Amino acid sequence: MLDTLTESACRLCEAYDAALFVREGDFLRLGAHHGPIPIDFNKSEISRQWVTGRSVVDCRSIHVHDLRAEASEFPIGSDMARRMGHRTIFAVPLMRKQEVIGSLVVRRTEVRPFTKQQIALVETFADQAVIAIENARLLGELRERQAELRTTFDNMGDGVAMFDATARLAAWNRNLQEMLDLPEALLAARPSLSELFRYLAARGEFGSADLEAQLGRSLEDTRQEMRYERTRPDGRVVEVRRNPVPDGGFVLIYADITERKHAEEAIRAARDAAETALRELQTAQDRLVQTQKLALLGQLTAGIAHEIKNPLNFVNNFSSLSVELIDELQEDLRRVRVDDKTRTEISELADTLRDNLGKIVQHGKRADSIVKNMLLHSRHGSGERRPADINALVEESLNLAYHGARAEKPGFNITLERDLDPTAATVEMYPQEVTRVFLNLISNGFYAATKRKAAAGDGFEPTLRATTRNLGGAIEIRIRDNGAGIPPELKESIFNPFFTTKPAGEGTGLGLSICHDIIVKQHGGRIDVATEPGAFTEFIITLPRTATAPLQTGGKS
Amino acid sequence: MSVYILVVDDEPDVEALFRQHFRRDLRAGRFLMEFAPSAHVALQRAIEIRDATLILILSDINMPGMSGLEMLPIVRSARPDVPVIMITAYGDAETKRKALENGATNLLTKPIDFVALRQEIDARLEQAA
Repeated sequence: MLDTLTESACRLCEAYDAALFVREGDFLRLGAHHGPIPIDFNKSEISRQWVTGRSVVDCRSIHVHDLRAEASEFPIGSDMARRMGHRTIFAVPLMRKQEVIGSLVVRRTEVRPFTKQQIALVETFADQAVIAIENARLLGELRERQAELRTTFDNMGDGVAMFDATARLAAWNRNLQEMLDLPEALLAARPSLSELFRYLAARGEFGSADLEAQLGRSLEDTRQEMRYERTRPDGRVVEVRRNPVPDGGFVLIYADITERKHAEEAIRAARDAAETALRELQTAQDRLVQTQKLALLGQLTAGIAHEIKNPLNFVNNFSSLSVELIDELQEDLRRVRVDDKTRTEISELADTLRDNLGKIVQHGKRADSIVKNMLLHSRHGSGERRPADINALVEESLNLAYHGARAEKPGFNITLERDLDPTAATVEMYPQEVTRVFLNLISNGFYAATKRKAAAGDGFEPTLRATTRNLGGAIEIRIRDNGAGIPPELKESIFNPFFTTKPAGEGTGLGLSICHDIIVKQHGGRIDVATEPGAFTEFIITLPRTATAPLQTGGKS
Repeated sequence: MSVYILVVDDEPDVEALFRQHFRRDLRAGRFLMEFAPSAHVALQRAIEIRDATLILILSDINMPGMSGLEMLPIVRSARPDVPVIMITAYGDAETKRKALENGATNLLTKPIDFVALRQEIDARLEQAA
């Protein structure tokens, strides 16, 4: 461009040469030169000592008709003229705004000044040169930026594909090519988005047909911003974002987020594990506290019961003895001679005394049965937690309770029904405690059923049914009697400590409350009651198989 | 020749209870009853009554000082000819096992079943006769 310019300037101005100097700091460097006059330097310091230099310093055109005659004015310039052989010289500064960026100079070897037209022409060329130099500079800068951008583009972690307004691939970076393993030829052919998509789909990139269909639909409107994640066939997870660009095209950005996903997954798993561990720890702690509480309560009750039992034994023993002694006393009295009135009085007194002793015996026995009950509910310790066969435990409890009841009341009888699930298997538990619960519920059932029998008479057959059922992670045990049932207004209170419906002396009111604590608090299970007044009462116990799989708490807590 | 039954219990009212219960036997002179309020006193008596007239020892377990179970092996080695029946409020299997292991003939629980006790005494009396 500058060469053409100097050539034209030289020719049109009838000069012997034309040269263009570009400013570089304090120097002028030869940028282009046309014509037979030699220039024996490539670079020269800017000063007023030579014509071109002065045009730059003074920011104006300098026209010297005969340089040889101006040796004092242009010492360096006249020296140059002597060396190179020129006489007439005209230099125009190249002005970009207020700044001089170079100089255009034309010369002749004879003394023949340039005409006004020629001067105007050179000045025009100078203006063009400014534009050309500026353009060249801008182009250079642009190329530099472009190269920088390209380097950045290629080296960014994400894969980028730019599509033009017709949805054809316009640009892509190395990462995209590597990440999706795209052949050079495919990219070079500038495929459209759907062509690229079809190529990837054919290669099995999308795995699921659903995802493929969904992505296929998203091809239709590329003006939409879009973001999705998918797992590639090699297991890597990519995040794909599509952003429209203002000129009508769009950019696809592929980011490999496998590591991030894994990290997120690991954090989530760790958090879940920690939460589970904490929950299990809390549950275990609660159970432990509960077990200790029960054990302590047991020891306490046992201690008190024994302390009461000893003096109570004396009360009972002495009172029954005294009944015998009264009988003997009356026997002896018969052999004594007294008047009838006195005899009647003594006899009446003795009768009253015997009745009183009878009451002491009766109430003593009542107190004794309460103490026995307390001892039954508070056998020391809970034993150890271990897997126990649930059906065997139910069977054993039924037998124990039945024979216990027969021993207490010789006339006792009840129909026992068993519906035991053969797959019930074992449950992790404190077997001694659970047996206590079963015994309690079965004894209650016996009591309720026989009581109804006493009221209803011969037509009624007292029945108790024990059912077990395998629920997978839990086991269900049902104890059902056909007694009088529980009135709705009492149903809420039955698990409260010291609540009892039995007549004074027949119950402590602790049985169901302890059952509840054992099942719910100690074993993490639940105990519910289903009842219909005048028909039946059924206790439903659900026990989790293991301590670490607690049920949703139910019943009362 | 009169025979003795030694009853060991820290409760003083036990004497009254036993004497009233067996009043007819005592009156009829079938046997005599001696009462010791502690294991130490009981051991002394068992050794003092050196002859064969001591036919049975009935002993409580829970007593201050030496317990009935501690006394048991000592009295058994001093008087191997005299059977010992333990009487306790704690009728659990563990206590029973310990008592029998240490040489007790039987273990009865409180409240005392006097019918069963009378049978035991009758059996001793028959053997002694």
